[in-house]
Amino acid sequence: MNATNATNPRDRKSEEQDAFLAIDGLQVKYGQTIALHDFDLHIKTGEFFCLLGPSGCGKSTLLGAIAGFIPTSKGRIHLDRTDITRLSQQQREIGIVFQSYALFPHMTAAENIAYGLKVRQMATSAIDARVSELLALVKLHDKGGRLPRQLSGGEQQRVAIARALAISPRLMLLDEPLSNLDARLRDEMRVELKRIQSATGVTTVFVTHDQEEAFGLGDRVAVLNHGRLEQLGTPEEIYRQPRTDFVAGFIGRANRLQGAMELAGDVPVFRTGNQTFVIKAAVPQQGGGPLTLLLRPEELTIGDSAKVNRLCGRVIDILYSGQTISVRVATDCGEFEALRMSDGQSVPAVGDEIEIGWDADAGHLLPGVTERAP
Amino acid sequence: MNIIDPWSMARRAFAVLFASFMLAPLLVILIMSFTNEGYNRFPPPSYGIRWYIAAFETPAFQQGFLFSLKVAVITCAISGLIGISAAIGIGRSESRWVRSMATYVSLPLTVPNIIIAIMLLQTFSRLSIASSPYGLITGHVLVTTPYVLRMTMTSLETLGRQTELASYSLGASWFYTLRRVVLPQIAPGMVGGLLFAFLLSFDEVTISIFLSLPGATTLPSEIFGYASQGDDPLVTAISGFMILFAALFVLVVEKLFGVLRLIANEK
Repeated sequence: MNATNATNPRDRKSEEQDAFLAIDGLQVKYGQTIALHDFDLHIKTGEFFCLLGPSGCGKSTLLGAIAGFIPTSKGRIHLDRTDITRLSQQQREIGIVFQSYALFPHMTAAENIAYGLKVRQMATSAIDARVSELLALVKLHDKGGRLPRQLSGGEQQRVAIARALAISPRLMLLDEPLSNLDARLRDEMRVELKRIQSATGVTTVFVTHDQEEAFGLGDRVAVLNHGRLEQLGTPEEIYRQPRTDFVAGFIGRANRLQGAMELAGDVPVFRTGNQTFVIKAAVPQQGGGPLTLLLRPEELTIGDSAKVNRLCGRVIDILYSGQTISVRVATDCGEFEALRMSDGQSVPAVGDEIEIGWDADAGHLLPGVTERAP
Repeated sequence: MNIIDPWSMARRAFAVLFASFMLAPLLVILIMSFTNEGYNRFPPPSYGIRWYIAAFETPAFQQGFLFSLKVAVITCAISGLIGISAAIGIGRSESRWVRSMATYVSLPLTVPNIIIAIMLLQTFSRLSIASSPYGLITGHVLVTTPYVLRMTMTSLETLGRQTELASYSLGASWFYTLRRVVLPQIAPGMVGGLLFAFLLSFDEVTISIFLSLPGATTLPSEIFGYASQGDDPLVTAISGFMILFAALFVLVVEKLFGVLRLIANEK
């Protein structure tokens, strides 16, 4: 449960040695613009790894560099201990699933899947066997003879996955593969992706801008911004202990309070303006400087006088979204968003004076004064 | 529920006027070409195919047609080869300088054909090479290649690079990818460009007149020579033939191509 798991020198060393895909000091430039700054990343064998970030953060550039489509200006990429930095894209044996699927429209599903095997001049009987095996894996047994345009979006997606898997790739790269599907299909394909990945055990790098997708799929998630790694960790670590303000703002929603830690007697408290709150969260190293207290909407309660920390305010907005109800509250310390389950109990109305509260072990501290997140 | 929308009526009227403007001259020639009289008049007092028979029996037109056909086929092949290779080279280049070549190689289109004709005539006579068919084909290639190039490039741009990248990632070489992935997908653009090249060469007059030699004269230039001597239903009939031939050619290509596409789909 340590958010900064990669900073321990011993952990880092062993992680680098175990790495199946190792990216060290990688830099990618587009003309004068640097798209990726001295980037390090180490991915383990069989891992389902997610690269998460807003558009333009460099995640697709990183994917292209791993695949060999995008030339790198510095750094090295090792796959299974061999240096692939200078290998052509054909030699890398990396399976790729594109956002648009990039199926060959003039070939049937089966021909699409067989393509990489034909390139390898495999015997026809062996190709046929492998193709039906893959069609079964992606549950398209009876649709091998269809052209891509005769298949639904989800089915095309499955063909694209099967085609990439056909060559038994050393690594699978998925570039926002779910973004062209409607919400229901997206959930279904997410489950499918996870199933296919564990069935084949192939090390997978999945690129997305969708936090839910990344958290639902990834064993570990790397959050990228402006061509740099913001944070690396399990979904839980990234959500509970964001290391930077960007991560805090990009992943889920967060209420922020600016202040500093001080001692009230023996108890460390967080002071903002003339209010103090009891906070047990670990204080980031920068001793004594300004801090930001981060509170997730679901950590806040409404009208619970048993909580250690309480703030009075007025309800300014209420938003139902089926399962949950989001309540916006204006307080002396700014606006807060609190989330509660819609469990049929009474909900405050706009204009009500209420009290929000949270436990001492709720919240998370970030160093410095934050700019507003995007 | 039939509300008359003035704009939709105007649009329809415009469409009818436009189509008439484009097609009426062809229609008039076609109708006139089937006259049975010894003079041109619209509409003809009586109909028949005697002038078609006469045109087919004129040796100059027979030779001109066969010569035009040969020139058009060779032009089409050469500009196809140059235009399609150039389109693939330029269209997939990362260099902005190379990409701007697409504009420069289209320059012959901005030069009047008569200038190209005079230039070629001088060049070929200085080199002591027969201006026809060599200079003639060179001229036709100059003015048709940009069409093949443009139409193929447009197809390539619409296609995008993703399927190529997918092919590379599956281990396919550049050439394998070109044959199996790129060319099948840009076929419409290529066939369109080739069709244009063929028809432009087949119909071209200016360069043909300047560079033709006795015994090596295209049909349009034979017609031009004949027509400059006087108004004659023979010229109308051979013109009608050219219209019908071009239309038939387009239909056949469309049909063949449509059939090919269908076969590819059903497989």
